[in-house]
Amino acid sequence: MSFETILNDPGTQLAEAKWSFATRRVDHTDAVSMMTDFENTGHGDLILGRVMTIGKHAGIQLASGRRSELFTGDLVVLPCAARYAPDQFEGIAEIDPNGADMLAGGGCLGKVRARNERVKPPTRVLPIGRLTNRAGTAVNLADYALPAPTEASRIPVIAVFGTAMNSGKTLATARLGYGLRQTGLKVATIKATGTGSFGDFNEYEDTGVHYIADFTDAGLATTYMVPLPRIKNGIERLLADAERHECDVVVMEVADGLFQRESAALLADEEFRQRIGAMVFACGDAVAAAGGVHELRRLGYEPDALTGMLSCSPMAVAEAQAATGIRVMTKGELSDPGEAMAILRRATRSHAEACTATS
Amino acid sequence: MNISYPLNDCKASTSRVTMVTGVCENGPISAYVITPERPATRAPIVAIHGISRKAEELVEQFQPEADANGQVIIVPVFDKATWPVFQRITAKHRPDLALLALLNMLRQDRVIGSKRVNLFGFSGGAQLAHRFAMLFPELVDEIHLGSAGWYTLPLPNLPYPLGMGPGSSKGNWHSLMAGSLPHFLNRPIRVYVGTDDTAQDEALRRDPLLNQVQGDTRVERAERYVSLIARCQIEMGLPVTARLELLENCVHDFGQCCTEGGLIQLIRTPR
Repeated sequence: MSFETILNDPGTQLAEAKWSFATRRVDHTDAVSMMTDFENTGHGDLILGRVMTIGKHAGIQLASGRRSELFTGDLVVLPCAARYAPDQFEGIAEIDPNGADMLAGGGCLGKVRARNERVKPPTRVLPIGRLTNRAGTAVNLADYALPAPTEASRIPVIAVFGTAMNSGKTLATARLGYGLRQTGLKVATIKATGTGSFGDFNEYEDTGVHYIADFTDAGLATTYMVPLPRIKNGIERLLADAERHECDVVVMEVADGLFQRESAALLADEEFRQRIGAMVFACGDAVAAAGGVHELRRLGYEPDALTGMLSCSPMAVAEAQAATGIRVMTKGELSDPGEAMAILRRATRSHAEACTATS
Repeated sequence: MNISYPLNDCKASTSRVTMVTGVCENGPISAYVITPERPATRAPIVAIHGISRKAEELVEQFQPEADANGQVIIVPVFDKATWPVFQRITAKHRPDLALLALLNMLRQDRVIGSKRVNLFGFSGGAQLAHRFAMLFPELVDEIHLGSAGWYTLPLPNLPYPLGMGPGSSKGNWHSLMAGSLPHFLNRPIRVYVGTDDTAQDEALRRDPLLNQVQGDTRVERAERYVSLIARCQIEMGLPVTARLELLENCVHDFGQCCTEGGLIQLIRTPR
């Protein structure tokens, strides 16, 4: 075998490649060949590529949970997917054979449609091939999803929404999970929507909760531009799996802000509204809290607590409480088992009422 | 689990007594854990000592229960240095976190399995027992209160910790307890007091409002508490589970309540 053949051997390349976090459920041995018909790439298809230039993402989040620095020439495996991140990129799930854009460090390759002017251009990746299995079809994250449930889950769900990215949702989810865990309950924390990343995953895991999962476990690299029924199906898969793991309660983070496409669609969905027992709303500031609560009330939701960045400022807390009439809780209060249990109690009551109403 | 040493295992007993130490935000918390020889079949009992902190006395009295009932008994030791106040739950003093930390540690180590425990407390321990149960009723099965000095009453017009209204104490306890009240009242609540526990000793808290609302002695306070709990249960349409057991000729003495008043037997098998 020539040196060139070895260099271009898919097996060798895949073994050397850095597999992104979003691919963590994939059995590498399933990828036996490649296709270069990139125009047919679908959401979740795995792409082997070589780093051309380093831009915004100078590192990749590995499936092992470790960050690896990227160098020009590195081989990477990333799923093709769209991304919504107002502070970075908006990107679509398309692969340009001459160079694709790395839209997220956890694994998301596509094409930038809009870029925040404060961030660098994306890291560019030269696509080598679309991975295929023994049947000759694309290796897709959906093939490794948790099974679809046979019946509706019943586990109580506390949803965590926010006014925007970085409003404090992940911290709120983690701390509420921690507060509940201290009572001896088996707690699941899951991320329902967003872009596959180990940051949130690891933050949940650090709290010692019993079960952690995100939408990538439901076969989605990201949820941006994914139809609502598929997202809801993904959430049900995660809830059912939490139930299978004998958890007592799920704390579920929904990414980005209320107006983000998928978050807004979920909030407007009656079935979803019935499924949510309690809600914690993370807000950046008092004005965002007032506007967000107004929007939530318009949709028929009443948050059980406000939290997030605004909870750091006593003045913002006072303003938000005056404007909304809803208590603002700090991360310390969310971590308190008594407070966390009170939120769960409301979730359980609402869930029971919803079940009664629909039965 | 930090197992330090086996205690003076009772000669006639087949159970084992071990001391464990857990940690919560307020500091370390130790406990004697009595484990039966055969696998436990009943919910564990957490038995909390009074203000004199004689945990060993509880171990001695409860150890036969572990043998007879196949029950794990947990006797926390609230040492004075770390836990100057353990009867009440306040922003500064969080004995509830200590109990949760102990239970979680024992669950992790598979010493106990069930989520719910039976709670017993004597005197100051009964104060903590009923306040913990009011805050976390879902984690408690039976509530047994022996000779408490006073109680947090399910009345919104009295400030916490006397009642469940806003009080001077920092924290949100009053509203948390108000939110969990139906769950608390749905539990079996047994109150025990010696018929002669009428001395207004130094350990008995007295102030005009407390005396007016709850009475002057532990007996009076226990009677009024049980009567109020029963009334609240009726008003909420719940079965009346509150019951007062008077221990004939007993004073404020845990040992006497057990040996002469049959306290432990009453906890196991109510009359």
